[in-house]
Amino acid sequence: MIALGKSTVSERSVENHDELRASSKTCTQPRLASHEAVCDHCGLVSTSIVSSNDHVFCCHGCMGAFALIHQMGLDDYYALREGAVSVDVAGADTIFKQKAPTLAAIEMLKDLEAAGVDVHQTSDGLCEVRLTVEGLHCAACSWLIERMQPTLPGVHSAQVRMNDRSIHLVYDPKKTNPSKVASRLAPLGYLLLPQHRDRADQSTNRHQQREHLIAIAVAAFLAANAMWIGVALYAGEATGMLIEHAYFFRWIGTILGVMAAIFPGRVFFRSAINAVRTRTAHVDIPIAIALAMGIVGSLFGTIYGNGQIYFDSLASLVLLLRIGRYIQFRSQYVVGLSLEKLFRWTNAMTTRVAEDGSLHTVAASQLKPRDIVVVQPGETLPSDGLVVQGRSHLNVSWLTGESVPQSISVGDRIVGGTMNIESPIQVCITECGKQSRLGQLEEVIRNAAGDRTPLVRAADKIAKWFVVTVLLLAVGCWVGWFWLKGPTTATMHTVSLLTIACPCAIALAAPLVITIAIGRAARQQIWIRDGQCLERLAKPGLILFDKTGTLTEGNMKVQQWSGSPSSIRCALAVESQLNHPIAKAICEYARLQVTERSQFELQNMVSENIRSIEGLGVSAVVNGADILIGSEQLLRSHNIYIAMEWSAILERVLQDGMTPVWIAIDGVIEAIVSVSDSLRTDTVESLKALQAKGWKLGILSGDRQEVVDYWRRRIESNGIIFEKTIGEASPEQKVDTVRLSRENEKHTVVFVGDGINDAAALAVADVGIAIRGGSEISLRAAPIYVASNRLRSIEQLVDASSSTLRTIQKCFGISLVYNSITISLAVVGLIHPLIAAIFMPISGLTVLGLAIAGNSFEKNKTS
Amino acid sequence: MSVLYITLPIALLMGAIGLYACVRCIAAGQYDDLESPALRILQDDVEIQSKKSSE
Repeated sequence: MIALGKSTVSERSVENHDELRASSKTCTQPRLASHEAVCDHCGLVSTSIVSSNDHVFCCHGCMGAFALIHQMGLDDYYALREGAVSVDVAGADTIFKQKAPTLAAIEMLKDLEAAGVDVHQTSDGLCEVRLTVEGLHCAACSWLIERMQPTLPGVHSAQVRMNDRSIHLVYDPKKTNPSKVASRLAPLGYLLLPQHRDRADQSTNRHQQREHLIAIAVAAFLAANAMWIGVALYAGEATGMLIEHAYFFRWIGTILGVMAAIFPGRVFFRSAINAVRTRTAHVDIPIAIALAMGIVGSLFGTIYGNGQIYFDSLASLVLLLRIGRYIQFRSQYVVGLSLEKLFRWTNAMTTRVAEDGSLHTVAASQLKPRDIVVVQPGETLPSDGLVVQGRSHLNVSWLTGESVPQSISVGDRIVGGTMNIESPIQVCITECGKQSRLGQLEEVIRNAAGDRTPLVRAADKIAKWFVVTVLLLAVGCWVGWFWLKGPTTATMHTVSLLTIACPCAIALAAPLVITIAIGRAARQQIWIRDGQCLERLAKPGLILFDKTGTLTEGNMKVQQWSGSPSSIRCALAVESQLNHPIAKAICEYARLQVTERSQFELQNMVSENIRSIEGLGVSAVVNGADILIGSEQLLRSHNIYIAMEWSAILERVLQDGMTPVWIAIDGVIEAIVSVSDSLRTDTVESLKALQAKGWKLGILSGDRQEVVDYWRRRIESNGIIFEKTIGEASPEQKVDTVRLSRENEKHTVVFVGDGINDAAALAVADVGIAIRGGSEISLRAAPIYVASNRLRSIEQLVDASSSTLRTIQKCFGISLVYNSITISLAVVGLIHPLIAAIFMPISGLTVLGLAIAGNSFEKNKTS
Repeated sequence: MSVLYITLPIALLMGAIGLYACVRCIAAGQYDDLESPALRILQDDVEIQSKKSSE
């Protein structure tokens, strides 16, 4: 099955087909997978496996979706789907989290007005709506949804727009409604929701995008026409042309050039004027000066009919700059979209309690302070609030990185985005929207994403000096040539100088390269808040890792199960009722071991009287037998003592730094289960790669020293050397260690971590990298956030940093050398204005090409 | 060569008409999504799988 998951599209479809036929003949045994397998529907690698007829699925949901797609005869979906599917794990998480409110979402779409959906009535009695689709991944998804349209009565058209993950539905309100469409799409894992962001926000974005494109179109038109008029003029100069004709051409060209400066070019003047008003250095100031000089010069040239005019270079300059601006806008938009996806882990829907006690499903964005909402188990809290009724446990791992659920009761303050896991609670909303902690976090990251990096500022400064120098040189050049040869020659040479010395290449290089790098990084789920980090990561230094959740998975897994097979079934019967990290680990392991026959037995197992004993374990009665699962203390409290034969195993378990869990049935010890954290699958690989690049490695953990030592030994057995291994470090000690390393180390000190205890250390390090699953605070402190949850991303980051820096240096170097050569040639009068006009845009184009060709965060580097 | 006085404005006018059409398209939202329409054209009535298995 694993091989199948990796096979190419065409192979896959054929095999699929064969399998479908094969499966009708033979019904194979469900497989006993002892390792991870790839789900046939979603492509997710998972250990929890459901299998049927030769197909493997990660969950029953996927199996259902697969069956449904097959039923509708849409198997092509699997053929169309992009190659070896690497499903976006974050996206899959969202789907799973959204499962509980799926029904609520469908319910809610029945009343579109209350849900805040804009319904547009067409003249022929049809309705149009635009809804967000969650769970869209690639072209195959849009194909599937659009192909379903004929099977939906009353739906006239369903068009999916991939770039903002939305669907446009045209339907007959008499025959159907969006809720019906939603209920049809829900089993496939696509959730229809009212559009997420404020509608105003979205339409501004679309509006801006259109404005950019229109400006580029206009600028391109003007530039192209100005260019060929320029060519005619230059040709005429070489072969001779009538004065009136030349005059006519000049006027037309000037009009085109001035129009380019006025229409698509006015943004530069506007922002330059704003910058001058606020007395800040801005890259648009030199651009505006260059444009203004170009206009004035051309106008003089045209009116007096002598000297050169530069409308063609003016227009092409505007075009290039507008293209640069558009690229910048797009990458910011992509970052914004990805951020939004990141924040989508709160439910879009929630249940509000009205004053008369009735329940209504409303959009979370419509909540106001003092509203009371009901949060069911499995739902995330829509916003911050106070518990007013009920007691439960919250999964706060989002906030603190801690995997142990936090117990809450009436009067406790709870934070939006955390998940209720036990029983329903009623919450009085205190803050919502931008005031909530989730909203604030979003704001912080958004703002930081828009910050100008120091490199860009440096480039601005260079560009400013460059402009001043060029202006002084121009004055000197004009005076000199005026004194030598008179005004005509002086003007000609000065004009060449000004044309060729356009600072746009320098001003454009750094921001363009960094913006492209940040945008590409975001596509790889690495959020970079501060471009400075890219500069610092370019040279190797010391990199310190937190252990739990960074080098390791951060959640418990069964490593070894010594004992009778019957204990596995009993344990599964009991632990599947509980929600505790160790219980989950046991269930996950046990499910893989249970065969079909024992599955049947399992269904007949009745577990009663399940009592969890805080900190010790759990006791229950299964089919009449007393079951105890827990620590040694739990056994002792039930007067069970550990026999000699177990003590050897126990010793080994303890030596390996694992936690022993005992299982006793009717007062007899049946099994000992060793549970521990496990290494991330990519830890060894990425550490090796980093070491090979010259980085020194270290562990800085708050866990017990012997546990840290155990992991160090395990990782070092793969040929990795740790310079530092520090355990039992309090948050303060972590900060001190990082600070001390910074003083001793000449190179960059990087800290990679998660959780609240790492936040301060992340802020102190030269570069702090927060790994997914970390807390809000560590995210705020860390300038880089790796959302992909892969350590490999760090290696990628390091690679991309050095290539980004190299690209910037290359751009700077090339344009400086280029400009100093051409400027000196122009000053001594060796460059004709015609040549200058041709060469000026070339430097800009070179930089643009270099920036885009720079291969930071290229896709092929991810695999 | 006085024909230039007529042909040049005509050429510019023709270009401007094209530009106007382009701007209208952008403003109407035809460039909002460049991904899905390109894929939509590939959706034909022939089933991909049946074609493949008959090969």
